[in-house]
Amino acid sequence: MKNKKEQKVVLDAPCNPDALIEVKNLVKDFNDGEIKVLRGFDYSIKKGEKIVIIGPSGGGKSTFLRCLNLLEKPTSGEIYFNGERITSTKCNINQVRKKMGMVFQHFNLFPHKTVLENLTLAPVMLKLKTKEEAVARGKELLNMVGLPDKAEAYPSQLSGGQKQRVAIARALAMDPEVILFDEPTSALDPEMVGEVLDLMKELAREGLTMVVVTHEMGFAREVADKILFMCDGVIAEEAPPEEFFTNPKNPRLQQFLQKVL
Amino acid sequence: MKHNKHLRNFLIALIAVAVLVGLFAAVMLIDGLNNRAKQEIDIAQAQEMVDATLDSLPNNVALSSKYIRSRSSITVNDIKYGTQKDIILSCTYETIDVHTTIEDNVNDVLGSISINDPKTGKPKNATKVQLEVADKVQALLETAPTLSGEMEVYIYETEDGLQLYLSDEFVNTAFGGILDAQKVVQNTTTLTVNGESVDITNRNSLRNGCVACFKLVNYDMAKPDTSSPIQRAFNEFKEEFHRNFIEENRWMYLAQGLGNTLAITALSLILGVAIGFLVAAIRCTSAKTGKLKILDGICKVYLAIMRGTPVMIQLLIIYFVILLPLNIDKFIAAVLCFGINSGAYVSEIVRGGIMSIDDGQIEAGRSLGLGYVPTMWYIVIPQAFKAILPSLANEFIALLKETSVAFYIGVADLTLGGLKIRAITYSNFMPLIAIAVIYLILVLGLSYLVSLLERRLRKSEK
Repeated sequence: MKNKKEQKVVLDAPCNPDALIEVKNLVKDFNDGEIKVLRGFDYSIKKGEKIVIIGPSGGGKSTFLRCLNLLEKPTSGEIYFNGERITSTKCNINQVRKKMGMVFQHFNLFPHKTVLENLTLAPVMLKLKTKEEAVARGKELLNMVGLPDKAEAYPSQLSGGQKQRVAIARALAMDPEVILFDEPTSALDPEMVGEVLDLMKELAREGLTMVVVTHEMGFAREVADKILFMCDGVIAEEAPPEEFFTNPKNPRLQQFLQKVL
Repeated sequence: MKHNKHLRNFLIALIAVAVLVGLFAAVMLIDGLNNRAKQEIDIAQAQEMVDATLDSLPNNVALSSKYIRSRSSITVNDIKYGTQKDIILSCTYETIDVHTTIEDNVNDVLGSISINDPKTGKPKNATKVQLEVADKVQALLETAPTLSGEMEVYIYETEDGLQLYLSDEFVNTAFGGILDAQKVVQNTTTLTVNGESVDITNRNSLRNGCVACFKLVNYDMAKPDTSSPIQRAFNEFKEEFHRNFIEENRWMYLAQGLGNTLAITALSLILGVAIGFLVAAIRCTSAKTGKLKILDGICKVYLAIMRGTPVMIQLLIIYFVILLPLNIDKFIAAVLCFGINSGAYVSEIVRGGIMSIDDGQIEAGRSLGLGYVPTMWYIVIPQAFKAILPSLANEFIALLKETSVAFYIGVADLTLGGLKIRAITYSNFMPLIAIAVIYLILVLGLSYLVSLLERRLRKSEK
């Protein structure tokens, strides 16, 4: 079984061998093509890169992100992860998702489980860790996100910022190679945004590969290796932060930056 | 906090019981006070009533009536009012000792009567014997000792006004033990006539004559029913209860029926939940992933039929059309019918619960690498279960009550048990109310258990 998969990897080899994630001609329609959200573009993300995606609502940012771990099934196009074509019907997406964490705008913690159980559920069920290992790692992660005393609390007892930090810890508990952040601070009260961003900056410093959809320009400027501006279903501009903010080329981006800065 | 809650509930229950008991006591007290005789009476009036009653009585006594009455008197000394619409007269009485006199001299009185008429040589008729005995007795009573003592006499307020209650005891005491004397005469079967022992058991004229001479006619009357409406209702209730449940162990019909009802409910519950979860799983999977379209269609037809026809008709069809030709027991038919029917409702409840859980929960589970089934099983269903528990409990309660139509195919359930009692005793109230009360207790018990479960599940929300 495993051998077969490795064979597949060779067969479906992507063009760019150092890319961790590679997207080719990605198209996503809704309602049988009535609404075109992603209009076909290529992009590749290298290991350790911090990619921040910004853009107006409806531009396809979240859909792009959600296509990366197939929470949205692309209408056409290919996505490769570690050289494996995950859009193939033969690909076991669950195996891929173990290595590709995701943090949601609305946290999506499991409300019927304690914080620690939220962290240990998947690693234990997927037999990545024994129960003891998972608990030890979970406590370590809670320590890291600054919530060591909340292990036995239920999500409803936490503030929004605390919930999002737990959600990040939950993604980290899988020891992923990349974490996808889908507007992680958009649902937070302003005074809680900072604690989540600080944590994300710390993860960035530690070298985690991150793809972040956000409206936090300060964060983008400080953390991103590259910033993507998504508009009308394509990547309208891609640049390092300095250039992105000081010398935007795309007129839509110029307009956008004028409004948000 | 939790302890306080339990304590508070306990106290509320305690107060409720106390209030009920107090209310009951108050009703009984008011009822008792209300049941007092309203008509006032003084000693003179009471004395008059006693005398009139005594005067009216001896006229019915064949035996030397005027004589006994002339030597008997009752004097009313005091009056009390009871709570049974009764007036209690404390009296002293004086009379002649009829009983001892007759007892001591029964052989003299009866034995000196010649059984045959000396003129005709034929047996005397009863009337003649009676007159002869009366003469003898009166002669004896001339020398009889006097009795005196105290007694209580009761006057009751009835719908026809005040009425003195003539008990046996009253008559016996007022007339010096005349009733006891009567028994002595009645029990005498052997007389010594002319030194010869004669059995009078079969000598009817003599016996009848002797007995008739002591006989009192119409001296007794039924004690008037002066109980209050509440007491009367209570007594009727007690009688009805006894007749419907205690007599011939009729409660067994209900007990056996209850057993069957519980068995049918429990088994169809298991079947219903199994079917319900299966159907819900198919329909949710179809809705969320677009797979299993054909199975989804079959489920929709099943739901339409089960929810679109009355359960009673389903029961009749399942038993008489499908299972009876296969010789399958009606108990199984009932379980199948209620299970399949309940499955339709359970599935809709479960489906609603699963669909109500935010898709973000599934996405979170899936994004961690969990498959569709583990995500549903460990993340969605536990949350859905908590959300649907009240509706599910309502469905179970509805199922319990619904099984009462099982009697239509002759399953001896609780309802049929009650109806059997009704057919035997012709009572409506007791059997029907009993059925209702038992169902009610079951439902309340079930509700309580569900609330306990809910409280346990809710702890993660606090």
